[in-house]
Amino acid sequence: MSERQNVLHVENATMQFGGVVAVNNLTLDVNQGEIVALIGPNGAGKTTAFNVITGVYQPTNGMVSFMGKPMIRNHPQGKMQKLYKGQNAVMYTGDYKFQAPEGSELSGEALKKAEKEWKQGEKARDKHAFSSHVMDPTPDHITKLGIARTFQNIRLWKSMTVFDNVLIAKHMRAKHNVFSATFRTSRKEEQRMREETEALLREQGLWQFKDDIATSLPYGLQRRLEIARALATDPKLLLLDEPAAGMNPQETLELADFIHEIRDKYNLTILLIEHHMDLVMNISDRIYVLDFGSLIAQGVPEEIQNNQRVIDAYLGVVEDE
Amino acid sequence: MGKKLKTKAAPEQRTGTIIAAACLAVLYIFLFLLDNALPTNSFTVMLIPVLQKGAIFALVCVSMNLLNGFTGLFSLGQAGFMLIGAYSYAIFSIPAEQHKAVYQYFDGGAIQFSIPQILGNVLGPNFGNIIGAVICIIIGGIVAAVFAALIGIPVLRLKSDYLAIATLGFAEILRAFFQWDGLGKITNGSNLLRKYTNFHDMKIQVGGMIYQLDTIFPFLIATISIAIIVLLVNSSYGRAFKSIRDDEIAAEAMGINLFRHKMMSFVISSFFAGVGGALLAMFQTTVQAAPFRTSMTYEILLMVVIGGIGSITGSVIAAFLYIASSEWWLRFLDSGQFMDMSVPFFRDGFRKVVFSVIIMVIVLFFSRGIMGDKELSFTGMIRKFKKKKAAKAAKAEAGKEGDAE
Amino acid sequence: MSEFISANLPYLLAGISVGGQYALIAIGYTMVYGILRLINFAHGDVFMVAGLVMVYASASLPIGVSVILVIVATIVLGVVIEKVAYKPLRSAPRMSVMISAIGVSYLLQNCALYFTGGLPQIYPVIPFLSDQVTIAGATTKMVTIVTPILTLILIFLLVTLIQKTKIGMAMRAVSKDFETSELMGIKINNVISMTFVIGCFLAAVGSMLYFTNYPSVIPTSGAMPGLKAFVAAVFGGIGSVPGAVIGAFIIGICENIIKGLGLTVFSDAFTFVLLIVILLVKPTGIFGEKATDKV
Repeated sequence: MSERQNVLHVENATMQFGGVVAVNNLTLDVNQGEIVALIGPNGAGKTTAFNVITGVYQPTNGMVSFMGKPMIRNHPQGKMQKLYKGQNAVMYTGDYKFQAPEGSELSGEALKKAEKEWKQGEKARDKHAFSSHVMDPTPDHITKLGIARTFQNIRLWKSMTVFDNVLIAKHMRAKHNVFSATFRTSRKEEQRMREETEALLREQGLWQFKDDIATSLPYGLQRRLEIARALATDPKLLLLDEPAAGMNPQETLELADFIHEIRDKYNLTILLIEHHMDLVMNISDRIYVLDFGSLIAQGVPEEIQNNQRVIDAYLGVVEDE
Repeated sequence: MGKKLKTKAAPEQRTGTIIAAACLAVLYIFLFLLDNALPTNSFTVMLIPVLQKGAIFALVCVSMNLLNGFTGLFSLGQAGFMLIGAYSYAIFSIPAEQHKAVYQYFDGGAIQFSIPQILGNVLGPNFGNIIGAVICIIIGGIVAAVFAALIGIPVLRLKSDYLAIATLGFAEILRAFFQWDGLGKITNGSNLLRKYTNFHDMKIQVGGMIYQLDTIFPFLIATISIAIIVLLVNSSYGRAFKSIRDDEIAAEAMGINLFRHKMMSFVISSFFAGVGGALLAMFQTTVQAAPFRTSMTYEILLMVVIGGIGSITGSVIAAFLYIASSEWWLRFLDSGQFMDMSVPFFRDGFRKVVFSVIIMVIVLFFSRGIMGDKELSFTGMIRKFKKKKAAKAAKAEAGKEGDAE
Repeated sequence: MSEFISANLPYLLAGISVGGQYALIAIGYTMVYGILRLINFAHGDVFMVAGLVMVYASASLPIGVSVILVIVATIVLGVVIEKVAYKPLRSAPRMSVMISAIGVSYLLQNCALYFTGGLPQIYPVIPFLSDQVTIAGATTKMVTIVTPILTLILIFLLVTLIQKTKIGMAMRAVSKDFETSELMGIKINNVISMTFVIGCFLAAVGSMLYFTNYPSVIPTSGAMPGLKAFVAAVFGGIGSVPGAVIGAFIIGICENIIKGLGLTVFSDAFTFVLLIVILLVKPTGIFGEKATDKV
C-alpha cells in the first residue's frame, strides 16, 4: 500500500459560503487502487468536499491535484478574497510572494539570497507554486481527466431509457464533431459507442432493462445504473456519494462485493461517502472523518473505530439511531 | 453485437421509411401540379400561400423546438434571428438596377450587387435565380448564426426565465438597430426592402417549357432543413442536448461541456431561424423590421406548444394547422356571416379571439399538445399495428384454449 | 447653464413621471415573481385593458365613477386570470406557466382588437391630471408632477402593508419558501390573490397616469410599458419592491434622456441593453437575493 501512485491529493481545501465554512482546510490523499471512505455526521461537509473535487464549486482556498498534476487551485475569488482569512490563505493566492521572517533585519544581498532559497524550497515542494493563474476547470473538464461521480440524490436523466443514459456518458470521449455526427459520416464511432454501452450494461446486469425509462427502475437498480453511467466515462477515480442510501441490508451486502468487483475489473480507485458503518468498515482501506467541515481523524478502519473523538462526534450518534 | 440490434429493427423500419418516402414523393408531385397544372380558383388561391407560409413556419417552429424542447433553453429570440435572416437575404438579392429606387433615401445604398443576378449571368436567369436565392438564404442563416454566437457568449450563462427575458431583449435591440437611420445604407432604415427575388421568380426551364416552383421551393428548403435537424437530434449531440434538458448538473458531471453544447444548439437553431426568416422575406416580397416583434416569437412558441414541446413532427403539424386556421379556415369568423346567416358578432377580429381561446384551452388542458414529446412515424405505426395484431392473436389463442377446457 | 436646464428639464420631468408609472406596473411583476416565480407576461396587457375600460366607462359615466370602475374591473380581471390560467398549473413546470401567461397576453390583445375594431381609442381627459402647469419655464401636464408623488405615497403604503400587517408577513413567508409556508398553515391562495389584487390596483392607477400623457389606447399599448416595467423589476432585483421602484425610475429617466439626445429609435432598445448589462454583472439585480442550487 505504501509505494502506490497518488491519484487524488487535496490540500488545504476550504469552501466557504458567506460566513459558513462548509469545508475547512481539508487535506486528503487517495492512492491507486485504494477504497477510501469519507465519513462524518450530516452536514459535516462531505458532499461539499465532493463538489469541490469535481469542480461544481470553486474552493475558497486550497488546491486539488489528480494523478500528480495540479487540477484545481484557486485564488479566493471576489468577495471571498476579503472574507477568507483562514490558515494558508496566502499559499494559493496570486500574490504568493516571499516575505522576510518577522523581526529579521535582512537587506540587499542577504534578502535576495533568502528569497532565492525560499523559492527553491517551494519549487521542490510544488513545481507549480509560482504559476499565478487560477485553475478552476468546469466539472466536464474534470470528468474528462478521469474522475467520475454519482450523486447522493440520484440524478439520472429522467425521460431517457437505461440504454441512452449510459450511451450519453460515452459522448464525451467519442471522436466526432457535430457535423460528422449529424451527417452520419462517423457511423463507426456511433457503432463503437453502442457496442461498448451494450457490453457495459450486460456486465452490470442491466441489459434486460435497456429499453425502460431510467426512473422506472427500482431504487437499488437506479443506484447501480448511476454507477454504470459513471463507469461509461472511463474514469480512473470514482467518487460514490452514499451508494448504499435507501438500500436494504441484503442489497448493502451485495454492494460491498460489487464495489470490490468494479475496482478490480476497471482498475479503479474509489473514494466514497457513506453512512452505513458496516459497509464502510468492511470495504475501506482507509477512512477520513469530517466534522463541522474539519478533518478530525484519519486512518485504517480499526483506528477509526477506536478513536475517541470520532466516537464522540459521530459513532455515538449512530448508536442512538 | 450492434449489428444484431440493427437487423432486429430492420423490417418495420424499412417499410416505414419506404412509406414515408412515398408520401413525400406524392406530396411533391401534388405541389408540382399545384404550381403548374392546376387551375387558379378560390381554393388554390387560398391553398398556395397557406402551404408556403406553413412550410416556413414549420421550419421556424422546429428550429425553436430544437432549443426549447430538446435542449431545454427557454429562448425568446426567434423573431430577432428571423429578422436578421430576412434582411440578409433581401439585401443581397435586390437587383442592381433597383437599388436606386429601393434605397431612395440613402443614395442607392452601400451594396451594389445582387447575387441571383450575378449567378444569372453565368448560369442563365432561371437557374441563376434559384442558386442565387439558395446562396442568399444560406447567407441569411449564417449571419443569424454569427449573431447568435456573439449573443450566446453572455446570455447562455443565464438560467430559465432570465435567459428568456435576455434573449427577448436582444431581439428587441436588433430590431432597433435595423430601423436605425445610421445603418440606412444597408438596411434602408425603417423603410421597406423590396423588389428582391421572391418565390414567383423560382422557375426552371426544361426543354423549352418553363415550370414554376412557387410552392415547391419553400417546401424543399424546409424539408432539407428539418431533415438536418432530425438527424442532429437523433445523433450523439442530440442526445447530449436532451441530457442537458433533463438534468444539467448530471450532464456536466458526465463530461458534457454545457456552454459548448448550449452554444451549438443556440447557433444551429438560430441558423435555421435565419433560413426561415429569409424564406419569409421571399414570401412577403417586402421586408420591414417592425413586424418582427416579440409577438411573433410568442406566436411561434404557441405553435410549438400546440404541436408538443420536444416533438418535431408535432411542430410541423401544428405550424400547418395554425397557419391554415388563422389564414383560411377561421376566416368566416371575421366575415359577419355563417352558413348564409348574418351573425353580428362575427366581425373583424373575432377569428383571433376564438383562436386565442383555443390556444388557452390547449395550454391549460392539453399541455402536452398534439404529439407530446413523441414523434409521428410510420415505423412506429406499423409496430403498434403489429403489436395489436399479436395481442389479438394471443387473445384468440387464449380464448381457444379456454374453450378446449 | 439655465438654458441647458430649461432645454433638458422637460425630458427629466417626463423621465421621472414615466419612471413612476413604470414603477406602479413593475410592482405587479415583482410581487408575482416573488411569490409564484412566474414572469406574468400578461400584466402589461392587463394594464392596457385598464386603459380601455377607462375609455368605455367615461363615455357614459362621470369620471369619478369611471375611476373606481376601472380599479375594480382591473382587480377582478387580474384575479380571474390567476384563478383560470395560473392556478391549475401550479405544480406544472415553470415553462408551462410562462407559456400560459403568454397565451393570456395573446388573448387579451386579441379581445381588445375585437372590441376596439382595431381603431385607436381616444383616452378621456381626466380633470386636474390633464391641466397644464409651468415649472422653471417648462410647460407640462399636471400628471408629470402628480405621478412621482402619488407613486411614492402608494409605495410607502405598500411597504407598510408588507412589513406591518399579517397578510404582508404571510406574503414575505411565501416568497421565501412556498412549500414550508403552506405546511405552516398559511392560506396560499389568499396570499396569491392578494398579490394580484395589489399588483392590478397599482397597474390601474398607473394606467390612468400613463395614458393621460398619450392621446389614445391601442391593443398593443400595454406590451412595451409592460416589458419595460418587467426590466425595471429585474434591474432592481426581482422580488424586491424598492428595487423595482428604483429600477423603474432609472429606466424612465434614461429613456427620456436618450429621447432628448435625438436617439428615439434606441429608447426602447436601451432598456434592454440595461437589462442585459445588469444580468451579466449582477444577475440577481441590485437588491436581489442569491439563489443557490443544491447538488
